[in-house]
Parts: sequence; structure tokens; C-alpha cells
Amino acid sequence: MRVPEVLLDVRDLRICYETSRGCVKAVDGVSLEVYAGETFCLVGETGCGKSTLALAIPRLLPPNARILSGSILFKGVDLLRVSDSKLQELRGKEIAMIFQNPMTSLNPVHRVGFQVAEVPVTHFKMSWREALATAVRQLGRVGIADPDLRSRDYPHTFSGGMKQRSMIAMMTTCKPSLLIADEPTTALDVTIQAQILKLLHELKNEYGLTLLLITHNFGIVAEVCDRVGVMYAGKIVEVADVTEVFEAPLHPYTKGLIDCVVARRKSKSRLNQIPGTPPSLLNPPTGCRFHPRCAYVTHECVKEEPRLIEVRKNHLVACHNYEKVGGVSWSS
Amino acid sequence: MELLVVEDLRKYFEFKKGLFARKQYVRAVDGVSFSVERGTTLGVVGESGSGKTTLGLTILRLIEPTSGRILFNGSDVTRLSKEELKHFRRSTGIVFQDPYSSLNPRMRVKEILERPLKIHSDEGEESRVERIIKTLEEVGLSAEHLMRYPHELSGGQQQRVAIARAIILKPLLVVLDEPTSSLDVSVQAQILNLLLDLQSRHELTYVFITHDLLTAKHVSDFIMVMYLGKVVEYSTVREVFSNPRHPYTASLLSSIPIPDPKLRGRKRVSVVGEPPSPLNPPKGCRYHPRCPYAIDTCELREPELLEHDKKHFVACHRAGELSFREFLADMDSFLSE
Amino acid sequence: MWFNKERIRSLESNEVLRLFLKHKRGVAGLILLSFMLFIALTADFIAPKRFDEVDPSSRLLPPSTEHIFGTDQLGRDIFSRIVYGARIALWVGLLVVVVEAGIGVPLGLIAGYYGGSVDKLISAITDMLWAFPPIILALAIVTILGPGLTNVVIAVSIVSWAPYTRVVRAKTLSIMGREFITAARAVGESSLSIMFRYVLPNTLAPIIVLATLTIPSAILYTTALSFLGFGAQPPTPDWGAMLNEGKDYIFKAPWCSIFPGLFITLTALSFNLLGDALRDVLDPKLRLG
Repeated sequence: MRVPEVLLDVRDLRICYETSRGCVKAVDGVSLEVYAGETFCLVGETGCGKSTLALAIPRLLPPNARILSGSILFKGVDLLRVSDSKLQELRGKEIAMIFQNPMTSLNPVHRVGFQVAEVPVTHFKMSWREALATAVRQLGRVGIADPDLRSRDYPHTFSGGMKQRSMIAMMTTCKPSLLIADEPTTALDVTIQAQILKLLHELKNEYGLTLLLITHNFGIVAEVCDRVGVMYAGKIVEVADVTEVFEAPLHPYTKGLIDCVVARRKSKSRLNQIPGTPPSLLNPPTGCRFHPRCAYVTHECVKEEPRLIEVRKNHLVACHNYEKVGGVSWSS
Repeated sequence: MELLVVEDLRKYFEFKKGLFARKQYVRAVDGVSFSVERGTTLGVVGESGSGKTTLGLTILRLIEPTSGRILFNGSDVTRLSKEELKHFRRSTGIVFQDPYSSLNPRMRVKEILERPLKIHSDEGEESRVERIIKTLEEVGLSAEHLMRYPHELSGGQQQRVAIARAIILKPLLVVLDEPTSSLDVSVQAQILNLLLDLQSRHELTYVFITHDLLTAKHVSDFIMVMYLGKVVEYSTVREVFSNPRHPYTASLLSSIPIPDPKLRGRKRVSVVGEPPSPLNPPKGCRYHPRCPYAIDTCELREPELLEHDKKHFVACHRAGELSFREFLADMDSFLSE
Repeated sequence: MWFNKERIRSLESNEVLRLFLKHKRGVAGLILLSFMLFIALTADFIAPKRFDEVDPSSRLLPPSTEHIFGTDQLGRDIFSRIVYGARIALWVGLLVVVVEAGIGVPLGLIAGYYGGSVDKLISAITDMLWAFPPIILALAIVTILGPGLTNVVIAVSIVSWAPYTRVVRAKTLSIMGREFITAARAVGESSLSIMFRYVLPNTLAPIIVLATLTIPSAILYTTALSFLGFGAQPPTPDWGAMLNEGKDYIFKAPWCSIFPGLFITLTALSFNLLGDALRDVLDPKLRLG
């Protein structure tokens, strides 16, 4: 088998937010490899640090965030250490990002076409005339009807789905190598969600993009991803191929999440549930952070933090007792 | 026995765009009829703008309907006297999507749960607190949460308090408006289990409003699919999920992201474009501009909600000829029981 | 993701004090105001003379060790008068705010809660009042009521309750959209109960901010009216009246007007600093921005 090329290599990243109550470690020692051309999903619940990790890549973290250690290698360049001007050049051209809320991502005072055209003007020194034509073409490509006409409209006349399409158009005009999408469909209706996911998938194949998708929805993971990283309380607890994650998850948390999805359950039957709620990152539990909610907990889990190790081919897990974790209940 | 019967319910919101503009109406709920049997759950499914939330508020008379009848236990809710309305409030409850927004941030849990008791009964402080603690325990909380403020609780705990408030007066009917949508995945399952437990323990009747078809399928006995203020399909869960007759229902089912990577390449019923503005709904069938199966009739005439099979109501001109079984065959393990 | 609503909300109450203590200008305002309160409360002990003690032998003396702020045209000790004047200024400021809020808050609640034509009527009155030059209107009212401190308080309150109505109305409107109001109606709460148990407690933060920010203008208006001779009558040590009396000697004995002026400014400033800080601390949206 051909060895895949690593496009993005995050190593031992630690990020904390300074709050008046102390340092909140949103990302705590995360290492991650994303291969060129794949769709990698980071999945986890609110506050697990997945968005922080995503924002750290193009260095778009809010001002109270501090990067404590680690590196983010993108095509061999450490993004945490390159100059601002170099980074500026990479953003949009090599690394693009779309967010959950398309309503606030577009600038309300500029026409949509102008905003899309601005990207190639900045990065390729394209003339405005040419850039506007490109913008119209790109808007058409992402599925905006009458792109010529609509490109002259302001964002508020667009629906949520169309705004997200416009964002995607804006972010893909330069054909970046990496597209980070942070919950891109969470604010949208199911039918629109399906359309947007389909669009992202098509663009990925067309442009050879690498897609880093952040989501909390296991349905979306199953629909579009090649590989999955599961995050819990600032740490990555499991990384594996998508089928492996769904058929043979090794971490109790992953298994719990997949198990409590309502699909495949007899109507009105009791769902398997993970007890409790995710911990506060101000003072996370000792040892394994999942141990207070875990059904497989042992003494070791309370004392010692498990490391993320490769236990099967291409399957990494951070759990002392992964061997005891059976498959998900519905697939057996 | 039917606890709730709704007949031709309409709610039009009036608004004017500009000083001299003609009055316009948003037909949020436009001629909806259904009934819910005691102890069962009706799942109301739709996307944003379908009118499902307005429907939920209107049947509890938290919004005054424009026209139509709402029969609760045989009496018309739209014509209640002040005293009867108070009694109706006591027999109904509601739970909202955002638990934080649905709790008064300046009240402690005790006070939040005490208000319904103070309004509707004159028992003493001691027995009130006893009842509050009993209800808290029923929803999976305890006396230690009594003196907390909402912001000191997690999202799941807040939603439990909201559920406690809805059931503390032992109501017959509870409207649940997206009760799990804003919660974390692992907490959603806890809340769904709780709601099902409470239903079987107290023989509660639920109107469960959601955009999530899989959740609706899990909790409901009947499903009503809404699109732009109208009911497009209404039947038992089994019928709607195994044999949908309306193209919109089928495309909704096709759009659900299914948590099984093996089903990725499944056949789907496509849907074109986005929902139009409810202010200016399309003529004829409101779904026709997005419908891949639309014919000329759909543009001209609005389809009526007709019974096609036993207890299977569909509002589509082509309901008789279309079948989506082959599209959904792959998803069978997810959609059938 | 870290900035989700829940976490920000959970910060709210516990953090108010901590955030306030970090707010340097706010703390400065609080210290300054505490100083004013201190001299007002302990005036009987710290004032070397009585405020109305006339001493014809020491008229218009410049500041010295005996009279640290000098004396006025009747030989009264200015420092003593200022110390007693602090009582009047603070009392009047407080009184005006209470009366303003007493008129403005219920109107705002009613307008926001009922909406429709009630709202239109109340808003129209508020807007009309807003369009009037306040000092002229206050002058007109005092002319009708006659001079005196109580009448000044009434006049100033009448001309300046409008901001309370506006702020409370706007806040009420936003609260009415929250689901806990619908939930309250669903359990059978009456309108009155909703207004006072659910809406009012949630408008307190902006009311407190507004109150601290309107006290200085209340003090300024009352001193202005006193300066014009409508307010406190001699020998009351009102700062505005002192300014008025001192203006005749502005070149000969500037301390007669400088010190009252300085204290008016400092008191107004202390409330402004405090009000700004409270707004920063109590309004989480601004805090995040």
C-alpha cells in the first residue's frame, strides 16, 4: 500500500484560555495527522476543544487563548512559528475555513460577488474584472441560481443555505489544499444540510482538497468522512477509519456515543446512555478524563492517564481497558 | 379516547412592510387538523418555517389562533372562561428547546417549581417543598439542586428542571418543542429516556415537535409532517417511515445523515433548492418548486390532505402513483422498528 | 466552542465583583464616591464651623490653615459649607433618581409588556419629553411650583424619567421574547406577576447602570437651578447656590466658586466612572465585545 502523504501534522498541541477563574485547557496535548486528499472528521461534544483546535490551525484563536506548546506542521511549515505576513498569504490561498454560522461570516455591507472576488484579487493579484467573473463562476459552481444576478446582491437577501454556499464559494476560489469546516451545517435544515455536505464532497473530489470537518453529529461522520478523531475534554481519545469506528470502536466514550444514537432502536425502547455530563476543563478529573462516566473504569484509570497508542493498524486509542470494550450493541 | 382534537386551525401573523404598504400575512399555520389519543405521542416534523412551533404554542393557547377549533377533553380551548383557562393551564405543560432561555435566570430552582403550585393550589410550604423534591427526584435531580440558580446547572440539568416544571401539576398533555436539540449527544439520550419513563408512569400525552426524524421516530406513535404551515403527511410511525407517500417526507428521510458508513452510497430522493419564504408561498402545491416529481396540476391546484390507505393521510396529487420504497430499502434497518 | 452561551452565563454572577475590582476607573469612581459619602455622613464631626456661622471680621479670606478653602462674602467657612453641601447634593441626586425610576420603570414595563397602542402612546409621550430642552422645561415647572429644593427635585425628575422608560421598554421587549415568559404563561401566571416576578428582576442591571449614570446629571441640573436662584434658598449650603453667590467675587475671591465647582465636578465624575464600570461589568455582551 502506498504511504499517504501527511498534509497536516499537529504535535502535542496545548492551548488554554485565560479566564478570570484560571487557565482553561481547551486543547491538552493533542497530536494528529491529516493525510492529503482525505476527509478527516473531528467529532466530540460541546466544549471538548474541537473548535479550538480547528481555529488554532490558521491561527484565528481569540485574544485570550494562549498556545502553551506544540507545533502545527502544514506541508512541513510550522504554522505556529511562521511570520504573520506569510500566514496571511497561506490563509485563503492554501488553508481556508468555513464556520457554523453563515449569517455572521459574510460582511453585510459588501455585495456577495465582491466578497468572493476579493480573495483572488488579494492572493493572485487578479484584476477586478477577471476576479468578479471568477466569483460569478464560482457562485454558480456551488449551486447559487442566477449567479450573475445574485452576485450583485447583499448577504441579507440570501437564505442561510445560500450564505453557506457563498462562504464555500469564497473559500474555494483559490483552490486551497486544506479546507477546515467547523460545524458547517449545524445551523441549517436537514434537506439543506444534505445538499451542503454533497457539495463539499464534490468540491473535495474536483479540487483535490483535504477536508477537516468538525462536527458533533455521528450521522455526518458516517456520511462523509474517511477517518475520524474523537475528542473528549481537550484530548483525542480515538483515531480510526470511519468503518472501524462504527463497527469496532475501542474507546468506551466512542462506543457510548454511537450507542446512544436513536437509529436502529426499537421505538420507545430505552436508549443506552452515558451517565453524567462532560467535565469542566478548569479542573478535569485525574487519570483518564472519562473515568467518572465510564462503565469499564478500573483503579488504573483513576490514577494514570492513558496515552494514545496504535493498538491495531491505523487505529489509535487512549484507554487502559480497550480490550474489554465490545462492539456497539446494534451491530452485534 | 381522544384527548386533543384540532380542527382546521389557522394562525396568520399580520405585518406591514413600510408605512403605506398593504397588510401582509404570514400563514404560519394554515388549516391544520389532527387528533391525539390519550397516552400517545404525536411527532410533529418539519424544517424551519414549517409552522411547527407556532402550532405547539397555539394548541396551548399561548398564541391566539386566527380561526379553527381546539378541543381538549371535549371542551373548546378557544372559548374558555378565565377560570376554565386556568384549569386548562393546569392540565397542560410545555418544554422548550433552549433550557437556559426557558428558566428565569433570577429564580432559584425551588421558586421556579413553586410558582405553578402556588398558583394552582393552596397547600402549605412544607407539603409544597415535599412535592417539589419528589418531582425533582422523578426527573433525576435531587434536593441538593433546590437552591441553585439555572446558570449553576448544566444544560441537561436545566432541561430536567424545565421538564419538572411542566409535569409538577400532573398534566394530561405536554408539548415538547425540540426538547433535545440544543443538548449534547450523550445528554440527549438521557433526556429521551426520561421523557419516555415519565410518559409511561403518568400516562402522559405528548406533542413532540422536532426537526430530527430519527428522534421523532423513536418517541412517537403518530407522525405529522409539516411544510410551510400545511400538513403534507400524517400517519402512524410505521407507515410514515416504511412507506412514505409524500415526496417531501421521502426527501426528508433521504436527507437524514445515517450513522452507518455502509449506507453512504444509498439512493436518495432529491430535493431542489431551499424552502421559499412563508410570506409568499408558491401557488398550488407549496412544495412544487422543490419537488422532483411535480406535474402541471401541482402548480395550479393545491392538493387536499386525503386518506390514501387506512389512517394514512397525504396531501399530494400523485400520492396514488408514487412509491419511495425502493429508495428507502437501504435504510430499512434504521427506519423500520 | 469554548465560548458557548452556558459558560458565559455561568460566569455572570460570581464574576461581577471580581471584574469590577479589575476595572481601574470604576474603583477610582467608587473611592471618590466613598469619600463624598464619608464627608456627607461625618459632616458634624469634620466641619470646623457651622455652615451658617457668619463672621463679618473674616470676609473673603483666601485659603489658609484656619480656613482651608477660604471664606465667603459673609465670612462663612467654605470648607464647612462644602462638607454640609455634600449631604444636599447626594440626597438630591438619590431622590431624583428614585422619583425618575418610580415614574419611568413602570411605564417602560407596561409599554414593553402590552405593546400595541399602549406602547405607542407611552412611547409618544416619552419621545415628546425627550425632544424638550430639559433645563428650560425644568425652569418652567419650578416657576409654576415656586422656588425650593423639593420643587427642584420634582421638576428635574419630571423632565428626565424618559431614559428609564426607554431602557426598560427595550429590555422588556427583549425579555418578552425569551421562552421563560411563555413558560410562565403556560403555568398560568398573571400579567402582573409576569411583569414583576419575571421581567423586572431581569431589567435591574440596566436600571442600576442608568441610575448611576443619571445621578450626575440630576446633580448638575439641581445645582444649575440653584445657581439660577430657583433651588435651595440661603443660607442652605447648596453647591449650586454657593456657585451663584461666589460668581460676584470671581476675580476678587475665586475660591468662593472654585471649590463648589470642583466638588460638583468630582461628585458627577465619581458617579460617571462608577456607572461606566457597572455597565461594563453587568452587561456581558459589551464585556465580550
